[in-house]
Amino acid sequence: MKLNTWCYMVREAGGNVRRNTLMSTASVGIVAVSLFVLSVFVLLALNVNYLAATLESQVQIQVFLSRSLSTAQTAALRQQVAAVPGVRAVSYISAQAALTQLKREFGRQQDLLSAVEQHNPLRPSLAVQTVNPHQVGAVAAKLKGFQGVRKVTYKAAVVRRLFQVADALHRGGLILAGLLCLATIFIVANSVRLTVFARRHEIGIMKLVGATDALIRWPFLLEGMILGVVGSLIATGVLWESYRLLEQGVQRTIPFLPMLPSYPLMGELAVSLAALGALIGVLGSSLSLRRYLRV
Amino acid sequence: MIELANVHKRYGRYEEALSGVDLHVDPGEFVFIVGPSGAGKTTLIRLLYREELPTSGTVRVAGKDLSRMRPREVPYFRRQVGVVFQDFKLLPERTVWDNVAFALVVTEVSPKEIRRRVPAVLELVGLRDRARMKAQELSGGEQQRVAIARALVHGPPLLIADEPTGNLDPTTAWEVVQVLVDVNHRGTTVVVASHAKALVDALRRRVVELAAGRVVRDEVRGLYVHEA
Ligand SMILES: Nc1ncnc2c1ncn2[C@@H]1O[C@H](COP(=O)(O)OP(=O)(O)OP(=O)(O)O)[C@@H](O)[C@H]1O
Ligand SMILES: [Mg+2]
Repeated sequence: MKLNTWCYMVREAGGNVRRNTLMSTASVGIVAVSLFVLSVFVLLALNVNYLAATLESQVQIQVFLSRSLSTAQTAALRQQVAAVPGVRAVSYISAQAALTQLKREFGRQQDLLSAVEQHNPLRPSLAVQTVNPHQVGAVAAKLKGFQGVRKVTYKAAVVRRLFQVADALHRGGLILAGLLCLATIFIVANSVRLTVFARRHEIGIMKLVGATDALIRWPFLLEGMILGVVGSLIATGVLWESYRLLEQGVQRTIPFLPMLPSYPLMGELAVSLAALGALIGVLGSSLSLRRYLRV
Repeated sequence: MIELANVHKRYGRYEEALSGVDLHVDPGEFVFIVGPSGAGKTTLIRLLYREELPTSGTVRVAGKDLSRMRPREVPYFRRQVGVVFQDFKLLPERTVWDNVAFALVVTEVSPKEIRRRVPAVLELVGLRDRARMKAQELSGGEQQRVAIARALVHGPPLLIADEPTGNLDPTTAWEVVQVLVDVNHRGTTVVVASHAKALVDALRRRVVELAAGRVVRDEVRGLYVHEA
């Protein structure tokens, strides 16, 4: 189609939106709410996922050693562990170092620990890092069998749990958002239907003077698209600001909690929401065109 | 230009509105369709611009079999047939200019071409000085002429009018018919369904009379009623 025709159709679509103020506003609002809810779930899921991934990369295997090992035996064991395939680094933590570390973590309440200082209950250990977080389980199993090893632990369970949470959020969010989007499509359809009804006289004349179906249809499709995209812009704006505030809040109160940085996340989200909004709009208006415009 | 062969038209389960109509119209002709109310005049006209399809028989207009036409071809066909409706079908809130230009805008004619064609066709129907008035502010005869202008703006080889003088006083009706005659003189085929005895009789053009869905008379220089 020609540029002039596109200009004409965009003007018509804009006119439709303006003339039908009440329904247009309602549609835009509902599109915005739906997309906002959808994005909240997506952001939550992404961040939990991110958190899990961050933790996963930090997962290390703690190999607790028998207290009776001599220094030479410990060194030998350490070399043996380092030679296991998949192991990236091994560091030795003596019982004394472990206690110091524990005291540091207890901070001001370290008095509680002075009682045990005489007789250190902690074991020396090896901290083992794997090349790849997924190898943690296999490596740990192998280390369990080594002479002088008393106990092997790692935090993989927590990580796995977090991934599950992210997954559930994703799935639940998608279902809820899917339902919301469906409702939104019907609201947009209703809004466009009102315009079609108000302009049925004009549409009849267009057909009689030889307007093609595409030309009759497009202004209404564009109308739906405008409603969808405007709704998505509002959702993006609110989301952007909320995320920024949340980021600042987290930064201030729980700085060690990893959060996905808003750039480029928000930009990508804005584009996806705009596309989704446009899609909702087009689906909504084609629904009402199919039913109420026999072209 | 028009070729109807054994055309039957039935709306739903009702009696046939047209039963076995044969009609041949050459390019450049001026034809009146007359007959009592309910005879099938409007039905015949609707078949000509493919608002309706015949129940059986063939309708050919401008060389095309309308029953065989694919839906996507219909808009392009309609641009070759100007139709003037009894109720005008104008957009009352819009100006005369906009009403006429509308037919061009929605068929993707360039703005430059629109600025050339609209004044020319308004001149033809004598409404050049009314271009900026809203359609609803015009008299009935003026509105009818806007409708004719819109029907003509594509330069169609065929112009069809269903009772174009239905609501008009005799003087205004005469003016409107003069416009149609003018258009015919420029080479456009004109088909007019009409109840206006005085006009039909004054012009003495070809008259096709329908009664109960059949052609009962077809005279080259006819009167509204058959000469005894
Ligand atoms: N859409 C329709 N559905 C059912 N019957 C119809 C329809 N349109 C017309 N008819 C019937 O077809 C017959 C012919 O109608 P038509 O409108 O063609 O007559 P006409 O000659 O134009 O009459 P008039 O001079 O009153 O305009 C009538 O009996 C009418 O009731
Ligand atoms: Mg009629």
